[in-house]
Amino acid sequence: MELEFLIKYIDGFTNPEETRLVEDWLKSAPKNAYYFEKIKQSLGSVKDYQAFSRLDVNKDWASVEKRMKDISGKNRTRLVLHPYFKPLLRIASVLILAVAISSVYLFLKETSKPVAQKVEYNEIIVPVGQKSEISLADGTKIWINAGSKLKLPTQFGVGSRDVWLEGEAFFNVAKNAGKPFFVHTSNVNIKVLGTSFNVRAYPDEKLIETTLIEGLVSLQKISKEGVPEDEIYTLEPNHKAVYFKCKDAYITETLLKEIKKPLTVRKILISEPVNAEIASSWKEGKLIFENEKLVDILPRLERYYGVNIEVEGETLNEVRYTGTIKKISIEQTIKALQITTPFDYEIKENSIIIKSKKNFAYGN
Amino acid sequence: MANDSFIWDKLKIGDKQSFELIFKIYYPQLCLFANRYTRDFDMAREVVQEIFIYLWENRDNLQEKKSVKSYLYAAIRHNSVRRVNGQIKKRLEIEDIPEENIKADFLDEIEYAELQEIIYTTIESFPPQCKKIFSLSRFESATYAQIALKLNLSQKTVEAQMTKALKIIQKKFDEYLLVLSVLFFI
Repeated sequence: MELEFLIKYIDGFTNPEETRLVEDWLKSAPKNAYYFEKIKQSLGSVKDYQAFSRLDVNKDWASVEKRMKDISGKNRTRLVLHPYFKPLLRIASVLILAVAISSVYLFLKETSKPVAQKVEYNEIIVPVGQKSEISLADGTKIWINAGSKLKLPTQFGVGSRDVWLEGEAFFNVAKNAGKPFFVHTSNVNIKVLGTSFNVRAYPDEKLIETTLIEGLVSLQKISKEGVPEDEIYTLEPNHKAVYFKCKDAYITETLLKEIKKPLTVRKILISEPVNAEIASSWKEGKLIFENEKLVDILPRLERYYGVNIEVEGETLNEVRYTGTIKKISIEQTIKALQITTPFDYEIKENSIIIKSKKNFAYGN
Repeated sequence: MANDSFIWDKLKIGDKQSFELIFKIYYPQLCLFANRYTRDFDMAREVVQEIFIYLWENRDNLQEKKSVKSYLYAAIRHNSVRRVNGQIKKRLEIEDIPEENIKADFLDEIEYAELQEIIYTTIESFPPQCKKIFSLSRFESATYAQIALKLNLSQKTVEAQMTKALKIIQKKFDEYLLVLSVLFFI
């Protein structure tokens, strides 16, 4: 039974024949009557719909917040939940292996006398739309995701193995108890003994995420000057550590469910058990999203394909998708998204513009 | 109802930022639910807001892990009815609900409200012209001919848009009911 007829019937607009059809259908099975009741009740009245569409949730929250009496004592840094402001991604035009030459003076930990040593670094730059895999002399394997930079010395120091990451990488670190492996990001240092984990630390994102698959890692915050702070956090397998760089970090519903502690800026927060595979699925060329809003998915699509995607129209950003993308073209991905929600899109050079539909075209 | 124990956790530790997010996620649906009892949307909004304030201020009294959502539904229903019956004069005074009211004997009403929110949000997400056509048809009882005339479109276009809109709504219905039937063995 077509919804159209049922709605007409509910509103009293069916002709005698249609009326009879509906009533026969209603009588033919109890589940039909049940279904009908559900539709009738939830369509509601004009007044209901109009009131609903006038609802201003933010305004009402402001009113609630003003009236909420706070229990004194707890002092939390305030996180302002802004709607996600999508930064314009600059497409890297640099090729893969660029050797950056810089000299640094290193002080070795073991010796009491500081010994200056000149160290040379390699910088691996992976542009958007690509990923890279490298193997180090000690047996460590690193997968580097699109739009990322990894800096490492041509030769590891005596006391430790250090790399610097801007972006996302998955590490399979070879065990070496005497030489802990350090991943340095802008605000967090990760110490590893031998293990598999994923680090997500894009400079244009407002949080840093570390997901542990196997082994054990510990994390430490570092100050702007690069000095590690005292507190050390330990991460167990299938958990995630999240660090919010600043107040207006965007928080997805998934993240909210994963972190039990209060959401505070500039503090390392450990999550509940998570599906660690999702964090590193990009290695196999897969992008997985579960009931995520378009506005959250787009930046990942942009990096994955190396394109710029713009959306015109607020409502589209709120639509949710669940899916796995594996080795299909950007055009096929866009078409797949269109199946759930119709929209128009335009491809210009390296940009894709998605617009809400003005007129439906019926090809099928 | 899905596992919402994380809400209880956030409340217990007084995480205001998470509370804000929780409010924003559930508020429209809860207003629609309250509205089923108050039949006055503004009154419904007031009741829901007062319940959230009450919940926040009394969060230390929350005992073992309960479903906060169930509590919200029960408390909103209880206090909506009180409000409508004039048991509260001016400002809404929230009464905590007796233990037995947390049984969802009004499960149907909850489902209608959830479905209503899904449908209304779906309509809100239609492209502007489709939304206009659908609203005129459903809420102002205009015929396709009248709509075509008013919006300066062909009747075929109007029909096609309506068909598409109804298909989408039908899909949402069926998805929701499928979930329900799995949960409750209908």
